Order: sequence, then structure tokens, then C-alpha cells
Amino acid sequence: MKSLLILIAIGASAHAGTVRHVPPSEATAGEPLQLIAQLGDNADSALVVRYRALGVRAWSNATFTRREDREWIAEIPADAIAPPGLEYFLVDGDHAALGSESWPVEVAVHRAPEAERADRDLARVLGRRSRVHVMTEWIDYGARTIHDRAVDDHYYRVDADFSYALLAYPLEQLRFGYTRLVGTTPDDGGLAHEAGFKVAGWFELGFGIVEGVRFDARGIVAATQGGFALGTRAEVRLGDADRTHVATGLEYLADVGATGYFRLGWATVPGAPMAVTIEGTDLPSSDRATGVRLLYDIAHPFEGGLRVGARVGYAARDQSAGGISAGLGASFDF
Amino acid sequence: MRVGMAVLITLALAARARADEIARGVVIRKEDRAVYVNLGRAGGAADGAPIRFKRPIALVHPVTKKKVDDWIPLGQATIAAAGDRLTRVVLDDELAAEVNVGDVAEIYVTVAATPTAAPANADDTPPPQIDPHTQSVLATWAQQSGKPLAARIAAWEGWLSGHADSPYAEIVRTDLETLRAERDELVPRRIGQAVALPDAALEHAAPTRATDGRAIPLVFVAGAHAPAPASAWLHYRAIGARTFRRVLLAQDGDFALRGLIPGEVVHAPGVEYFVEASAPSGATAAAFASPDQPAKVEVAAPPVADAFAATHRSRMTITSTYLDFGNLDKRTGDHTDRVAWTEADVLYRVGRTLWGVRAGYGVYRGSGGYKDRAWSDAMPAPTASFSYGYAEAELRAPTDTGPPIDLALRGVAGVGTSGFGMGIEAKARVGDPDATNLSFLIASIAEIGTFGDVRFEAVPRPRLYVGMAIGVTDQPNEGDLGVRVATDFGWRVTPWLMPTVRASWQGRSADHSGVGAGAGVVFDW
Repeated sequence: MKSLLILIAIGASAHAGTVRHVPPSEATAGEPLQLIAQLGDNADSALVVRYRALGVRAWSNATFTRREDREWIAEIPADAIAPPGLEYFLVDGDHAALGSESWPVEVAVHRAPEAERADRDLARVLGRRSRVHVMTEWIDYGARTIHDRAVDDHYYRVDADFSYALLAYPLEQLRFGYTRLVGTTPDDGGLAHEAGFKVAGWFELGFGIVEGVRFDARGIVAATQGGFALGTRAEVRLGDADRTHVATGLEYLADVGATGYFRLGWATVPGAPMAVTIEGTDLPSSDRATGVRLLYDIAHPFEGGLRVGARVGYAARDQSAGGISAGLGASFDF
Repeated sequence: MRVGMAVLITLALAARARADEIARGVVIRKEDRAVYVNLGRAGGAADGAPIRFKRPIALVHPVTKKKVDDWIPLGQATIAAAGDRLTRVVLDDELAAEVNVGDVAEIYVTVAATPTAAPANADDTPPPQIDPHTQSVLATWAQQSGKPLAARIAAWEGWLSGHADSPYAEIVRTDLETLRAERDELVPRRIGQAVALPDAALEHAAPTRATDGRAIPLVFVAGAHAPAPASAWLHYRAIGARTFRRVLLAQDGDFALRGLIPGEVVHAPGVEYFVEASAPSGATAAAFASPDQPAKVEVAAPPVADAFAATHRSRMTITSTYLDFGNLDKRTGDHTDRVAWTEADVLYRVGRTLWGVRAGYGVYRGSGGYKDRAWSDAMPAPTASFSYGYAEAELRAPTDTGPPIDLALRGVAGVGTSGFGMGIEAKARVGDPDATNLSFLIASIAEIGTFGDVRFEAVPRPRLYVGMAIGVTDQPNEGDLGVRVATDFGWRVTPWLMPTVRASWQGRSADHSGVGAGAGVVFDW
């Protein structure tokens, strides 16, 4: 147990019964605060510390007992030592020795910086470290006429994943997931062909560079039209992904294509966090021309950890054709 | 009763002061270290006789609240030459620095002692009972007479630290300010270079870190074998600040002195402090840490996540604009030259260095773009079309003074008639983006062309927004350069809603010009 000493002594020039006190300025949360006092000749001293955690109404008492010679000791129990602090005053019999009920001495109580950060991070997710998440999306670039034939250019994507807030800084989160991305898009000859992959698996590490600045790195393996392929995804984000934030990132999937995006999310409308995303991408095939997707997301978190969301957007590779994107998502935190 | 008692004590003090026979003069001239006093031999001056100097000072009695003419001893010297009407005194360097024209000079004149009449109330009648506050302040006041300036200040500061809630505290503070001003005039204060104060060190458990914006309570305790200082000041400042602020420590019991660093200065990277204590004699010294080596308390910067947690920082803007460069062109033929665009975006004001981030969508359509070309069925006006999204970050230069200076960078990605294209826009702004500001913008977007403008925005009335812009562009087809002059008005209907309208004139030549208009709506929440 880490002890924090408070020396209380009677100085040579002090009269008997007076208390000299050097209060601590800070204490460690969850650890009892031991007070070691030195009293004068008064063997019958009734020095008492009256204490309470900040925000608590009732005062508690702890009595000083003699340890040796003039040294007396009292202990404030661990359950009263909690952030942001505690306050106390000393009473010697009927006399105030230091502070008073209306003017108590305040001691800041800290936790280790990483523990405090974990507390804040957990508070943001209401103590729920785990999440399952599913997102489905339909993306249509519009049918374009090639050699007098209308050729579709669309795909759908399903992402399902599980994440866990590890909070072992700088590693904040682990995430495992699966993606299915299947579509139809014109090839070089103007014929429609199937693109994408049936199943890809991925593993993502979320690094909290500093509190509120996040870097997510993902490794992807997929069985594409051309066989085994690797992919990766990285995102840098300021703020909480479920609330107000800005993020930018890149995703690359061999054979399937690459995507770059910027996203601004805002949670300033109660119960309806929203986001705007601007995305440049050649999905579902790396052979296709790069297009742009303009996306708008809205979600609603329910009590209990359920969160549902919807997405609408516009996708086009040029001005000759464009189409609608739409998606639905849900997550459950526990 | 209280006031009456104070008057009696004051009169008693005055009676004792008149017991000596003293010749008084005034310093009427000063030349380097020599001063001339309007006292001559006839007034009792003699070569080699001692002479003392005082500084008259006007104070307010804390109980009677009446003006009291008092004095502060400056020092003593010897008369160098006594004339009939003037006396010349050569001062040492230290005293010469303090004595000024107008100071009082006194010479003791030996005369036969004359019994002083007893005060009228000096009888056996028990003194009237007065309350502890009055008793305390009168006792301190009574000890002041003839004391040096530093001792008076220390005594009153000590009294204040234990009687901050006294009804006399305010008037004592006023007197203290007078005394301090006098001290600063006599000797400019240099904290930490004061006379050493034996046993002045205070014991203190210094905090190592603190929470942003939260006041830091501090307790200092006098040494076990040393008398408590007469008074002590806590000096504190934010790390990086040039000057310290100070607060008088309050006494708590026999040993403790307590103070508070206010939360308003408790910000990252931290605060630093020291304590200066005064002995009853007025001598001062650093009693815990020092100005050169203050104690430091670290304050962690608020996490970035918190910067995104605040509400009432969001704005959604939807605008639609139509510009015609040719509808005032009176020449024959088809001189179509117009553009129209609609944008919708969301701004979130983060604060700090990253003032704001914005993201939005836009659709741009245009045709023409040339000042002298006439279009026909065989040669129709070229068209431009661009659907795009954009993301913008506005950075603010770190400055404590002057108006804000921002730099905004916007990336644009979209698709035009020839496919995917990108653009960039840079904007420098001086002034508050939500109030009066001046901005310079330049933009280049694939397929469409370039655009630059100077824009002034103001809020001349609480609900009225005005924007004026002068721009140059070759849009919509990277054609001929043209000038655009636009004025925007907005009227804040509610705190969260502001419709806007825009009127513009634009032209690429004297013959080829037109008017345009636009409208929009701004939501703030």
C-alpha cells in the first residue's frame, strides 16, 4: 500500500493542543490515504479527521490513534479516495485544528493517466467494449449504353464485423470482419462481367495515437475473380467514429479496386448522428474508370446498445451516367 | 459604540505623538544627494544635528472611515550646514533615492518636559465592550504609528489573511493599496531579491498535475520551530506567461496558510507558483520555490476527442446560384454564357488550430465562356458539367492578439463530362469567420476552370449579414476571363435559421455582361 504521510506536529513555539498540518495535495484513487500525525504532550488528544469524497453529502470520521511517541495515525479508507478528489478537516476535541466543514481542505485524487484515459474511453461507449456490426449497401453507377446496349454498372457490398475495445494503449481496438462485394460492370469490350469477391476476411488494429486521434490499419485476404488477393485499408480519424469526427482513408483490394475517402460526421442533432462522405473509387473492378460517390449517413442509437443507420448517395464515373447508392446498417454494443 | 471607541484610541495615540518638541520643515529642493529644508537656526537647526525625514501619507481609518494624515519614516541624516532660514543636508545614496521634494523633515529640539493632560476618558470607568472584529482592527491600527512602510504592509496583510470576512477588510485593502503604491514609488519591488527572511521556508506538499480548468487548492505550513510569517502571498501564472498574478494566503489555525490557483489559469501545459512571505518587520523573502525556480504543476491538454464533443458548433449551408455573363449583351447572335451551381455542405467548428472542417456536395452546370463568340446550331455553346464533393479544413494561426488569421484548404473530387477530376481551393481569411472578415480565395477545378475572389463579410446589425465579393474567373469552360461582382444579404430569422439572397453582375467585356442571382439557407445548431 502506498502511504501518503501527513505530518502533524506541535512546534516548539506552539501551545499544547494546537495542530500543525501539512496536507497532501494529491492522492491515488483506490488506495487508502494514511495520515501520520504528531501531537504534543496531550496524551488524551481526540484528533479526528472528518472526510468525504467530492460530491458526497455525508461526512465520515476517522480517529487518530497513537503510533509512537508523539506520532499518531489515521486512515481514510480506499472507497473514499476517488476522482476528482476528497475533502476533509481536522477536529481536535471541540476545536477546529485545520479547515472546517464550510472550508475543508481539498485533495485531488488521480488515477494513472492511462487509467483515466481508459475511463473516458469507456464512458464514451457507456462501458460496452464489444460491438457486432453489419452494413449492407447497394451502389449503382447507372446503366450506360455501349454499342447500343445498356450495360449495368453496379455492385453490392456487405460488411460484418466484431470489434473489441482492448484499451491497451496505444492499441485501442481489435476488429475482425468479413466482406462480400459482388457486382456487374462493363469490361474493356463493353460487355458486362461479374466483378468483386464472394468472401474476404480481414483483421484490423485500431491505434489511439493520442486520445481522440485514431489510426486504423486493416489487412484483407480475398478470393477474387482472379484468385487469391490481398488488400489493405487505413483510416486516420479525429474524434469518435460514432459521433462528431473527421476521417480520411484509403482502401485497396487487389483486382477489385481502390477507394479514397473523406468523411465528416456530426452528432450535434440529438439522437441522429449524421455523416457526409466524399469517395473516389474504381470499385468493383480495378479496370474501371474512377468515379465519385457522394454519401449521406444518418443513424439512431437506441438504449441498450442497438444502433441502426441508413445511407443514401450518388455515384457516377462521368456525367453520362449516374446512379443511386443506398444502404442499411446496424450494430449492437455490449 | 464601535466608532466612538475608535476615536478615543486615535486621540490617545495622537496625544502621545505630541509629547516630543519637534521642529518641522519641508524639503524644498533636491540636488543630487543634497536636499534643502526650510528650517533655519531660528527653528532649532544646527550643524551636525540629526534630522529625520518622513513621507506624509493619507489613509482612511478602518473604523471611523475618516481621513487620517499619517507618515512613513524614510530615514535619518545629519545637517551639513544650517543657515538662517535654510538647512542643507547631504544624504547617503539609499536615503537620497527615497527623499523627494515635499517630504517632511524634523529636528528634535530639547525643551523642558511638560506634563501632558490625561485624556478625558482616562478614568476608572471600564472601557466599553467592542466586538472582536473592531478590537482586532483597532489593535493592528494602533501598532502602525511610526512603523516603516514594509512593516505596516506586512501587519495589514497578516491581519487580512486571518480576517478576510471582516467588515473592515475592504477598507483595509484600500489602505493597503495606498501603502503599496507608496512602497513601489520608494523602491521598485523586486520579488525574490528582497531581504532574506530567516526561517521563512514553508512546508508544502506540491501537486504534480492538475485537471484543465479546475482550481488548485494549496496549503502551506509554517516550520515547526519558526513563527508563522506575518503574511504570505501566493504568486502564480500559466506556464509561458510573463508575469505572475498573486493572491494573499488566508490563515487557517496557527500554522496553515491556504490559497487557490483559480481554474481560469489552469490550462495546458500547466501552471507555476511560488510563495513570498513577510516577517512582522516587513522583510520579505520567497518562502516556497522562487520566481526563478517556481513549482510547476502539469496540466494535460484536453483530449482531441473533447474538441469534437461540443454542440452548437454546426452549420449546414445550402446555396444555389445562377450567373449569366450574356443577358445584357445587346449584340446580335447567340452569346450564351452562363453557369449555375448548387452546393450543400456541413461545417463543424472544432476550435483550436483546426478551426473548422467542412464537407459537402455540389452540382455545376455551365455553357459558353467566351466574350465574342456567337453560337449557332452548327456550333452550339460548349457545355460544362461537374458533380462533385468537397472537404475542407480551416486552420487558424496561433495568435493571442489581433484578429484571427485562417487558412482554409479544400479538396474537390467529382466527375465531369470526361470523367473523374479533382480540384483544389485555398482561402486565406483575416477576421472572425462568423462576423467581420476579409478573405482571399483561389480555386482550380478540373474541366471547369479557375476562380479567384476577394470577399468581405460583416454583421452590421445583429440579424443582418452582408457579404461583398469581387472575383475573376474563366469558368465554365476555361474560356475568357471575366469579372464577377456579387453582394449577399442574409437575415437571421431565428438563432438557427438564416435565409440568404445574392445579386451579381458579371461580364467578360464591356459588351458581354449580365446579371445573376442566388438564394440559400443557413442552419446553425
